[in-house]
Amino acid sequence: MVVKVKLFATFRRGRFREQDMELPDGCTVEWVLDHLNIPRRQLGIIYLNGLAASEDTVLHQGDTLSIFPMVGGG
Amino acid sequence: MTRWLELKDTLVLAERQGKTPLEIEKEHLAQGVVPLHYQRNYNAISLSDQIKLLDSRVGVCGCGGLGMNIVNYLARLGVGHITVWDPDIFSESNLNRQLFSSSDNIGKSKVEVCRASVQQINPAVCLTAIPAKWEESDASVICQQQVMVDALDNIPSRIALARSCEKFNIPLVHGAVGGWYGQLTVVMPGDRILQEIYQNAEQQGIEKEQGTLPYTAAVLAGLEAAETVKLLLDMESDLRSHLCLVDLLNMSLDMLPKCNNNVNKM
Repeated sequence: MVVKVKLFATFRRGRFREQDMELPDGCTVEWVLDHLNIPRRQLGIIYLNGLAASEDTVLHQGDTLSIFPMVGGG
Repeated sequence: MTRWLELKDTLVLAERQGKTPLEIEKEHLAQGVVPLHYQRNYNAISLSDQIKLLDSRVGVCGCGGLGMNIVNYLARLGVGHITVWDPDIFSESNLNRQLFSSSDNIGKSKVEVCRASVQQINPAVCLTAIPAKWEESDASVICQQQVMVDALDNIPSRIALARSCEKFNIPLVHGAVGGWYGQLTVVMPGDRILQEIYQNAEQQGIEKEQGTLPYTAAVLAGLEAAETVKLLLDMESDLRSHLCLVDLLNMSLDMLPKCNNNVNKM
């Protein structure tokens, strides 16, 4: 299945900004995070098709997954 | 033809009549006489809205890279009553981004320096400088504010502020920065977006690794000030229903819809 994956801020570095990824059927958000080596300690919000999702959310063909790092400085 | 009031005349009239510069400016605006230092606010800000701003009360939590710029913008615009909280003193590492920091005031209270600077910028503004964490203030001080602004630098305080604003039914303008990146939203009572973003308060933001760049702080502070003014003047804003993500490195600005069940209109 193909899922559009969007990365934001520091997660773009050395990876990509937006990519249609070929993923195993039935895989979860966690699989994508592992595959892209996203550091969990910096992980902020995860959106799937514009709604908040979690690491164990199952992905489907045509989904759009957005992954953001946590930003907290002032 | 618009008539103008010079600042030196405001100060003389205030002294002579035993009134505050704020009162003198409001009286003149009500008669269509515009204080000259608001000339370039006009007509983007109407005369009636300028009076509304002078009557407004805003609380700014945090007086660092974001907070000092936010207070600066609000004071120059003519927001009449600003309360700013921060227990910190200036250190050398603040010099890259904090507006009123200088080599001369290292070791001095940030909010006190901010108050003195605002007095020079706009003597009509009543700035209350509180050299303590906002959490230590009496609830009555928070309740007086029409809008609270999140310019904090740590996640537990941000979550506590969001909860407090919900409890007291006060809109909150949220901004955060790290390196080249920032995020911004308007949190209306009932909107739990900050609790959603910061689910694990023990996690680190990217600022721990990326630091904070001066223009990122200035851009986000400008956006927070604009959203604050829109709330004060009852203007519409897409940020009530969206989270805005700013990436100055790739020059992108993404508006992410919040979950519908998290959004309440004012």
